[in-house]
Amino acid sequence: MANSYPSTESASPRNGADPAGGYSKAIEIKNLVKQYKKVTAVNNISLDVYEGEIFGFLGPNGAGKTTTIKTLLGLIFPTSGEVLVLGRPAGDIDVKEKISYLPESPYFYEHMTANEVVGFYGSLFGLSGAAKQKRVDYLLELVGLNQTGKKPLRSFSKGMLQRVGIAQALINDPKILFFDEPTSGLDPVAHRDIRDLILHLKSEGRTIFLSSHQLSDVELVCDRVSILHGGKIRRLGHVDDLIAGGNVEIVAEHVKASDAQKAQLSQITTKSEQIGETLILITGAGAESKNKVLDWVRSAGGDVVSMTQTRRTLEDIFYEVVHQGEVETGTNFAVPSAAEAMEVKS
Amino acid sequence: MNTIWLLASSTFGEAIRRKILLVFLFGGLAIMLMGMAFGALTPTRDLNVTKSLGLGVISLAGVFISIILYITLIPAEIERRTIYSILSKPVQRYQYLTGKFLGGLMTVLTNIALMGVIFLAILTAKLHQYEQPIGPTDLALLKNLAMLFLQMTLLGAVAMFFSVFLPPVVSFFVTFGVWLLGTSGLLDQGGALGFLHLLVPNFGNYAIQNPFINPSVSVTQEPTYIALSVVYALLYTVLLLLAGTAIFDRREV
Repeated sequence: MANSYPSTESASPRNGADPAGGYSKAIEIKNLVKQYKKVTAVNNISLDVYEGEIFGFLGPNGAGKTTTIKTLLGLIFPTSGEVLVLGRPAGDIDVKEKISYLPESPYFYEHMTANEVVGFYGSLFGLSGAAKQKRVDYLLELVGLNQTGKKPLRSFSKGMLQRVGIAQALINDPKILFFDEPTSGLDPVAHRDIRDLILHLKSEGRTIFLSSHQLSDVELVCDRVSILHGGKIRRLGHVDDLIAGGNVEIVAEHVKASDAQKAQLSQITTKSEQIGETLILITGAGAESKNKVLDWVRSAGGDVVSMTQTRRTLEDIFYEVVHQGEVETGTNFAVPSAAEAMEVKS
Repeated sequence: MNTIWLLASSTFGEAIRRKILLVFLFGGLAIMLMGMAFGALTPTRDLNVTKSLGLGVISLAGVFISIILYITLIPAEIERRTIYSILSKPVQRYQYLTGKFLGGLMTVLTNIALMGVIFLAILTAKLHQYEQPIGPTDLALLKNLAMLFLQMTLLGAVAMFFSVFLPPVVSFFVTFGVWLLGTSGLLDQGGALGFLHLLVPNFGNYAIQNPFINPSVSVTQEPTYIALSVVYALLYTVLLLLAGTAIFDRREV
């Protein structure tokens, strides 16, 4: 999935002309700073999002995600820096014709039915008559609300309201969709439906700017991600690139190592464990590390039973970034261990 | 225009169902119905009390409905995040503000009309009780209600203006203060408070209930007076909306 897009190896933004592949930029953020009195919510971030990609915008609460999205929508204004959407300044009325936004836990006028709400938003785009109704019917069917379209929203569950939110966000057939926590608080079925819908929207060629805490979803659907902490971008790149690198687990049997050989083990592995006749060795995924361990096993007279590459997950990267950010900023929001918690209580 | 109308009608649909406004509406209606109990007075005094009480209640309920509605219209949309899904659409901020204002106006008009209808019914019942016909002075009630509506339009514009940059509680007290100042007659006295004439709308212009309650009193050159009052309310309202839009355009939501 990610290989279709230009690669961004580091947290540095990609600047300049379109990449060789001819992808054009849907969103350009250049040195964006957003300051609230003494608090810097967004601290000099730069990134580009290309047309047709799903871009994951991650970070813990208070990292600056929603502030950035609001700036992209023209709801708030940058303190400094430049924000372009489809090549024009954020908030431009022509740009708004081509984009859409689904806020976190959206509220819609409860006295209206789903049919009326989606129609209302359609009217804001100038849709009317049969064309509007056709579009509304199509979208309610797409989000699975065609049977309940005539019921007032006050009788809707959170998942159903989220579906209404997605339907309204699609009413203008947008080029770019901004989703802020689209699966927040949903049951597993609704959660999966919305995830599948996001993939469906991508297959239609739309650009999706996705802010979410559901890291497994992001890993599954996003082409590239950035991870924010303390208002700064800490990682930016393809999902595959970010999670590449992991470890290799080598399982060996009948190893008869001398004391000198055993002493070498800690230098060439990150972890080793003996279970009966079986020795489990963990090392880095690089060829050199792997070969050193394999040579060691052979020199100790052992047989390699299996060799497995373990992948890191986006969650691992996320925690790593947050931890680094906390160390850097001197904050620590880590949950205390059980022992620490008991100590505090006593 | 279509966008403004859409926003106005959705605002009306939402606002008319708000419980806090219904409390003032039904509270006002209840007081008017209780006023029917003043049967021990002479017919003339009873009718005067009914008329004064009715208009007073409608006016007071109208003030609270207008202020509370307008100071919360925009903050409530920000708190519920409805404003995000609207302003991220091709909607200009002046359209949003005007739509909200007109939706609020429709709500205030509906409330005043409902109370007016009930008041008219009570008054008709009283007149019937004293075997008196409905005269032209009684029908002047409609004129009074129209002037009250203009007054509420002006008050709503003041409340909405403050609500675009002040928190609801502060907006309430500031608007209420402006209302008290604008109805107190202090503005007409000149002197130190004279300069406030330029800033605070004169809500007293719209209190013409005397001829209705006391038929012997009349407003001189009434058509001109009413026409000027209409122009005054419209001009003031447009100016306040323009000033509100200028602030709201720069406001972060």
